[in-house]
Amino acid sequence: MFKFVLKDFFLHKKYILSLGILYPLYVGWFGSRLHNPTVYALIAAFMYMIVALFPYTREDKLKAVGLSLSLPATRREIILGRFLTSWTLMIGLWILGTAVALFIPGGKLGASKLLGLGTILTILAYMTAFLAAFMPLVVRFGMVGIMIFLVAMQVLGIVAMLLRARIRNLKVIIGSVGRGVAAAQEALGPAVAAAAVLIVLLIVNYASFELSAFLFKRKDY
Amino acid sequence: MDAALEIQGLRKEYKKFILKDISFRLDQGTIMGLVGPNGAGKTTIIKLILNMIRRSAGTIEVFGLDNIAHEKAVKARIGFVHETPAMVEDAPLKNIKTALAPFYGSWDERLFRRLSAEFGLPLDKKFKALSHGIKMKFQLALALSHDADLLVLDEPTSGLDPVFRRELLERLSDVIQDERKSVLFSTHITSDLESTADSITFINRGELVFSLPKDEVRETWAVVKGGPELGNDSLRGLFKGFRETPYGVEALTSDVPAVRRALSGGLVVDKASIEDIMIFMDQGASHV
Repeated sequence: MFKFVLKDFFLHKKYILSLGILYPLYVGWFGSRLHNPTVYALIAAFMYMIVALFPYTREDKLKAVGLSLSLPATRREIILGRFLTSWTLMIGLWILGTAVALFIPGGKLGASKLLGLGTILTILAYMTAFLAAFMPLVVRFGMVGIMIFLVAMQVLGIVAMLLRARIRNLKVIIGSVGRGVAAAQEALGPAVAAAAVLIVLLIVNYASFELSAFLFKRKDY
Repeated sequence: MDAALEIQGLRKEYKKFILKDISFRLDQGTIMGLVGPNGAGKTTIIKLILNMIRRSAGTIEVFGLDNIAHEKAVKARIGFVHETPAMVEDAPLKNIKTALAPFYGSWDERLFRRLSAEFGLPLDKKFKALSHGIKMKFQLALALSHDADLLVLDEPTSGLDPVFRRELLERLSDVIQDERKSVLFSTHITSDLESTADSITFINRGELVFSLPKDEVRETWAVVKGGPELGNDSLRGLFKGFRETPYGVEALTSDVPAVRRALSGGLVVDKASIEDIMIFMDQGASHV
């Protein structure tokens, strides 16, 4: 399956390398300014997911999906390859970004928070959530899929602002993933909580993969 | 002779176009020309072979294997050249090659280098910076380098200058010197087929008109030249298309003996070229 990662890297080398440097630098610097590891995890996961899906939005834009379809691979394998490449990119960028955040002097989040189990699980949870939501949209609608999602998020944001009096605090929602991970750690102990969170993330990834493969199989190119 | 490709009852339904129950067979070691006017359904058939679009009905077998159930094995044996290639256009040729080669167990790097030199491929250049002819040659080099047993070419000669075109056609003839290899070659440039193809499959408006060895096409199809009587209702069923000329009426038939029986004397019967067939079929039987 690693040949899919290589394929995407060589076909989009220039973009992956340029964004792969720019984004971790930005996220690393941004992360060093923040106090809240959950907000850092949210921003990092979103930024890295955008880079990870970039090869596929480009493929869609350039109408180059046919190239993958002419290769000796099933459509299911192609989607599995996309998940593998996306995760390889996200993890790689995350490692780079974390290194940048650690090396920037005067960072507000120290190594203990940036590399803490809670932060790691939270960032993995956000990455999973974003990838699981975006991949089927990109498969079905291409670049437009991301636009649909972002517009939907904008609309949700406006609705949230309008309902602010009732919701009281938007941070409560944003922080729910981080708090969920923390609560799991407290209730189950760090090792069991980590295993439980990872299992949940695997299930979400698998569900998104199945949905993406289903959509991809039904699409004509 | 074993079949390289066998299509039975193939159907694809779009809102504004239907490919209707196409059946034909391509033998190993031969070149088949898939012919028809623009919009006839040639590209649809090729996309169905590659499972780029879903079929509504029918079967496609490549070397005896269903193209969907055995998609991976089938595609490993197909080399694809497309008129408008689905490439990441801003990637250099060497990157595209490096990206694709690992997918083929039979990839021959030395052969690719030899073909690149022979075709004059600028491997450092971006795909989008290449001329149409070089793009075609690059795709052909990729297809040949993984030792494809079936080459599927969608309008490969469209937009090529005559020198490139001749070179490409000669290359295809070389390919089938290895009798395991076969070529399916869609085109609307009929002259390409006269010298190259062993058999012709003619598609018009989503329907199969015929799929025959080239010699049999020449024997079967004819242009009948005569007067307005060719357009009589009683004869209409014998003809596939008509054309009015300053000298009378010309009609296309695939049943010369029946025409001779029905019309005695004053007839000129010429063998129909593939171009004749395409033009008459496009105009239809209701023209006169």
